[in-house]
Amino acid sequence: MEQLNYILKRTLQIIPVLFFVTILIFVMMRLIPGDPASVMLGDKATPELLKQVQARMGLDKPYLVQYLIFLRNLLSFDFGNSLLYVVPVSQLLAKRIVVTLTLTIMAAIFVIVISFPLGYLAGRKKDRLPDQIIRTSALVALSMPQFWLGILCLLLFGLKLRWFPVGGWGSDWGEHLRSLVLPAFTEALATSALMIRNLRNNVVDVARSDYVDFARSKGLKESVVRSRHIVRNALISTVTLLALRIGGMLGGAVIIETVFALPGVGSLMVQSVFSRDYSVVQAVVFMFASLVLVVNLITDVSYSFLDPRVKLE
Amino acid sequence: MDTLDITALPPAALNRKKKISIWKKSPSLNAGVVMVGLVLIFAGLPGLIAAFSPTSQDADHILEAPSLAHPFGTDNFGRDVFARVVHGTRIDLTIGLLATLVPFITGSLIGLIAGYYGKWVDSVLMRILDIFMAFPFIVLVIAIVAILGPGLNNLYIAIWLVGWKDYARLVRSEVMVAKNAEYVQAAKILGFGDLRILLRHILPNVLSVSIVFAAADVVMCMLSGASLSFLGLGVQPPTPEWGAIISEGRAYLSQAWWICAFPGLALVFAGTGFSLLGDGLSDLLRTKGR
Repeated sequence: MEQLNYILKRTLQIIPVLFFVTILIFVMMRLIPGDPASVMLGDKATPELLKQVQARMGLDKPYLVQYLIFLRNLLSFDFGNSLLYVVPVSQLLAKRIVVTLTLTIMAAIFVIVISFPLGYLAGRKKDRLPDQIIRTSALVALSMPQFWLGILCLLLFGLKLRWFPVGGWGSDWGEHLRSLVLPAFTEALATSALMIRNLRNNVVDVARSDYVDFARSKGLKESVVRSRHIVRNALISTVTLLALRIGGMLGGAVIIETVFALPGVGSLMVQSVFSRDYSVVQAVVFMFASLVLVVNLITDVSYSFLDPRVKLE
Repeated sequence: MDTLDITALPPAALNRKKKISIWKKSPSLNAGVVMVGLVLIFAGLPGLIAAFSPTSQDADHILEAPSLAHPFGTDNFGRDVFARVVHGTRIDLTIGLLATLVPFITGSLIGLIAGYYGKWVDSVLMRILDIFMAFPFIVLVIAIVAILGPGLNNLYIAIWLVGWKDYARLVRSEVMVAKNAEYVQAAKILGFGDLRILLRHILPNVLSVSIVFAAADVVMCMLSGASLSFLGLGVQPPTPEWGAIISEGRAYLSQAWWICAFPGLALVFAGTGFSLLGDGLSDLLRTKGR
């Protein structure tokens, strides 16, 4: 019951934030030089035509009314039409979000596969050679520009070795997954570095704690102490960190998808910025914000289930 | 991150003896200082280091592989890539520092005010923070640049508008602890004004988290600036900014890998330098209390 209350309360907390997010996006869109009607008409704009389109788009109404219309449209997933693709933006997003979400999930899996063993190893071998090598590599990985790493991966594994396709998305799920390997790895590296550092420090702290000494002294096998006591406790905050980084990784898709020519939401945003397709930009920004809020909600809720010590407030 | 470890610092003065010993003991600090120093020299005196001009074209030496004359090769206009990378240092370093400096100040001040006054001031500021936290950093920056138009100045404005949130959050939580500390209570009893307590007593003691975070943030800002320039939204070619050079070299990737590879290495070098410096600083500040 307490948990249910907490979930409900946390979900309700999202609503005001999302409301202000829509205000921010609305204000930003109105700050664009030239109103949406003249942007849409471009060179074709004549004073009469402009007035006509402005009336049709409701731009002659007071700002408050305009905002309410904007809000109503957002809530019914009606983001208007894309200027460039001449289809409803929602249709465009529905197709492309699959790419971005698959990329992010695959990257998250890579992060786990890379960082859990390395972070644990570094923590167990504190200050010895493996620790120093892993820590230094993590530090360098954190300073690596993703777009550059992506290009180098393309050059080596795509152009030279031909293990993976050079950009694109393929036509079936087998090809989709194959074409996501390099982008997901590129996306995963920086976050892995962060997680390795976090996990290493946790392992060092936990291994020194009293309950680990106690577990050993009551005669538990070393393997049991490691798997049940050290690893489990060290992982709690690391998993939270991963969940918090998912938002950042979603944002990283903007650059990764552009480098690897993936037809996701991120590359759509960059294209739309250049073609001044503002209805798409606004929809993508709104979608990213909603995704981040939902991911944070799931993190908080599942954290309260995973760690019974977390107080539900 | 290491930045969280120094939250429990009492307001102790820096002990000079300890400072010297940590200087010796912290290899990250030493390596960071050396690397950042090198970056500063490259940024300050690019003309002394690079023999060629970063913009002069040479039709006889197009897409040449690295050689003694052109250690990083030449690009599709016959420009010396080494000269372009060296001259780019100043631009990328400036982006990193300037894009960090303003949010460092505004974010810390907002955190200071929110944490100290609490109540509705805190609520309002934190709700604004929530809104900004809902966006992935790079998405909001790109959206703002989309509105203002591509270019270096608008890139700064975008990062300044978005980057303050982490400083505000960090400083606020520090202030909330510090304002109940004895030295602050004592200052209040002595009748000092809020402004004096905030700036003279609390600020110096909570700033260390901000400073350590800023060292890491320089790397973040430098990478963001280069990323946006790579996308064509920041520094515009032919200006030799590292991200822009990589963007230009991308079309020649299969024939001339060196155009893309070396500016990226420069970013990694500068970034690693600042990360090491940040780690060293956090070591230094952590030992300070013991």
